[in-house]
Amino acid sequence: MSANLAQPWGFVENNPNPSSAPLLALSPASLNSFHTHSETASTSWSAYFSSLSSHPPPLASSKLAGVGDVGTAAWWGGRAKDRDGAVLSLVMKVGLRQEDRLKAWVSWCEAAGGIGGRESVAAIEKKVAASMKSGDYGPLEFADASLVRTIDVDLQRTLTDHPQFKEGGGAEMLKRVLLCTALTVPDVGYLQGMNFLGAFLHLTFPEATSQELVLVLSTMVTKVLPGYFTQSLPNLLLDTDILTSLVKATDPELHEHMSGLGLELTLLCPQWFLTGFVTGLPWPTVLRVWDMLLFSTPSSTNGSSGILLFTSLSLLHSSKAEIKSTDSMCRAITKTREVCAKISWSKVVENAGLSVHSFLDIGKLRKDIKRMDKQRQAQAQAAAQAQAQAPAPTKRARSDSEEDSEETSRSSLSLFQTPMTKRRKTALEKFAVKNGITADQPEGAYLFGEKKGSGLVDAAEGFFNFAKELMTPTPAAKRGRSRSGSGEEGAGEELGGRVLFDKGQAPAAAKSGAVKKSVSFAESNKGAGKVVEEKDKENSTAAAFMSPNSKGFEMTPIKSGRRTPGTGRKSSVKKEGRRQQTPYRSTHFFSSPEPRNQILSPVSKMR
Amino acid sequence: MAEAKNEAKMGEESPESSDSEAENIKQFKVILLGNGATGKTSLAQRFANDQFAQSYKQTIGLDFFMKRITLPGDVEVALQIWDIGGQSIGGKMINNYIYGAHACIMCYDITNVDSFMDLEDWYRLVKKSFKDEKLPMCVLLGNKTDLNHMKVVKDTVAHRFASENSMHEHAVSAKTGDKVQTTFYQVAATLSGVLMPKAEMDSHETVVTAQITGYEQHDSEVEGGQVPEYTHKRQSCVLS
Repeated sequence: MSANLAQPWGFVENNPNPSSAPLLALSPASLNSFHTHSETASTSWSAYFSSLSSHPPPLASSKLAGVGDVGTAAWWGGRAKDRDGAVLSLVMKVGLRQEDRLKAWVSWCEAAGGIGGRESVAAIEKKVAASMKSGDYGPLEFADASLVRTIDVDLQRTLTDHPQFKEGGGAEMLKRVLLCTALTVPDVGYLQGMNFLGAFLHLTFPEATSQELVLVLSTMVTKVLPGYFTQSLPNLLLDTDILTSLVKATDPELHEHMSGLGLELTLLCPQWFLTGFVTGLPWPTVLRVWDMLLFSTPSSTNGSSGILLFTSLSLLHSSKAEIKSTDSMCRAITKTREVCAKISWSKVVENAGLSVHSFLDIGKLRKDIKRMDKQRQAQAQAAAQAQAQAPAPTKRARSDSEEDSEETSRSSLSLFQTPMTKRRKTALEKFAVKNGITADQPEGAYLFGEKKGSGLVDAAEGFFNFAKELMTPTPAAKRGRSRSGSGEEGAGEELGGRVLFDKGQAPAAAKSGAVKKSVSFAESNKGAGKVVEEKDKENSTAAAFMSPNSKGFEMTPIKSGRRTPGTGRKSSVKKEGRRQQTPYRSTHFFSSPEPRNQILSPVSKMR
Repeated sequence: MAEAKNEAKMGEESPESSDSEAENIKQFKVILLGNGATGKTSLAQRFANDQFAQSYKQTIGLDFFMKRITLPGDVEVALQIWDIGGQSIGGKMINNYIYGAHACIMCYDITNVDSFMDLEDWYRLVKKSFKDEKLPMCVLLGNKTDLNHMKVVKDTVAHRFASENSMHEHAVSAKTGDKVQTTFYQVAATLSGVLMPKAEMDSHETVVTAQITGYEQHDSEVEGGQVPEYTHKRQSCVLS
């Protein structure tokens, strides 16, 4: 019998459709509550915009700074390419304002390129509209004949409880968007999950035209989540692998418990990744995740993976108490989904903060992952050799997923929707060329079916950079701090979304406590579980020291000398001095692995 | 007697009893496989919660359902039902889901030929996942018998497929609940080696309350995609 049968499952008899709860969050009521949520975002952005016009910040020197008026579509598109530190930090810390969101998302997607721009989408839309009117989809010339039918079937089961989809024009709009997207990105066509992405976009921006939605959705499935919407889901598997190693590295106890339960991440993750968290998290939280996902589009291949991994890891850490307290896999999954259905973005950041704390030494994790990767490669090689040595019936013996799809392609298995035919292979190659994906990138390696071990390390890198960026103070925060000193009521603090503890601010007791903790951690690097507990306590202490006007902050880095184990705690004062001289540092959070020494303490207040 | 107990157990839904009794109970992993929109989630829901959701939701990845039942001779078993999304699961991931299953329920929609034809591929996946090991118990399950007037999968064809692969065969309706309980009881009985007399089996059948709604068939090529006139009327009927 299989391993997980030895474990008692427990009984979750009463779980009518466990994953349906988050969908309830997609209601008009929650949209209203969301608008009150974004008050912090509003003030922060206004402060930022006014700061732009009053005293031009260093970004004026950058080549795209002159683009359009502040806040227009052109300006947003320019910001995305420019990777301006302040905008980046605002996107990450407070999220976009709802009124800017559509504009910003669409411009970022246009800036990302690769989908032909508005004109071609408009042309496609005309054709689709005509076809939908006549009911004859022949002229659209879909490569996959069953595509229209698949979309129709899926439309009947996409948020059918929602008034907009029940009676309103939601379903028709969604169909148009999905058909247009399938034509805009023919290499992807349509795969399940896209219906939820589209529905989410339509509900978030009821006023948006289908063109705008098509632009965002197409970018989402090609650039933001490349390799997720293909028949063998290579990147989904890759990211799940990395997430498993991240869990193992950050909380070995949790990992052990999960494997004891037989709870593999492949049971949890597809729902999160394939729907961009839409079916798993509350609406406002999803918007925050998408803000960053879309901001990351013009850049690297790893940025979006980093965000997905960061969020997922944090979700697992958020529900680890629930997972650990049960010995039933069913219940663990249900509980995790329950936790996720209610979680706010600030909680996500906070809990990921804990997880970053619990290993602190990113370098060590990097090494661990590299080692695991080598093992994987070695295993793969051994398997390949074994196969090569095996006698005649090698063709039958192969069992990789790629072979899988080839083998089943003859019999039109609708599981894989579009079997790997020659035509599709060419399409994939074109797709890769168009998007600048080469075979040595992880996506490329997976797209072309040549698995390369380096993919693991590369994609993990995306996570590190993202986590680091989110946990480090930003220029905006520093500017805010200096300004609040001159009496501007902490507007700048909100701007950055985080505060540095001044020496005077943080009472000596707390500081010495913090130092003690870090030392004790340095000594016992193994006891991660215990450390996490300690950090929990420390958190509440840190929260108590937050200044009253700091609500809305997500992270409170303690700038004093708490350092990664092994690097010592020298020169923190000097460092601070240097940092103040250079208010803007490079913020290429998706690509620059520049080491930062600050260790941060998450704080639990966000209203 | 056994029946009375069953009823109580089913209605009770007592999670707290799980910890104390868990060791004595046999547990089985039952997976539902089949194309999208064949009604796998509805089947699981009908069995575990005795509900049918009128508006349905697509399964991405998978969902779990759990139910404990009592078989003749006071044999208690727990069925853990893995409801696997019809699409969106590729390559290696499906092996993880299938591996270790005690029973595979292969679902098709009796009004959709493709869903039946594709079962061959699903079955191949199962065989592949188990490689050299003994195959789990396989059940061929035709769903949507409430739409018998739109049936396109012939009985003889289904019989042949079932006997060729030594599968058990059932036809159910998740919507009305017809034969759903019987099927899962049969699976549980077979897995735990309990003999199930026919009378015993029938006793698990509940009175079927059907609601007729304007249900549109998926397959536009069948009967020109016409929805029969009478399905537009909304009313209830009771079969006993």
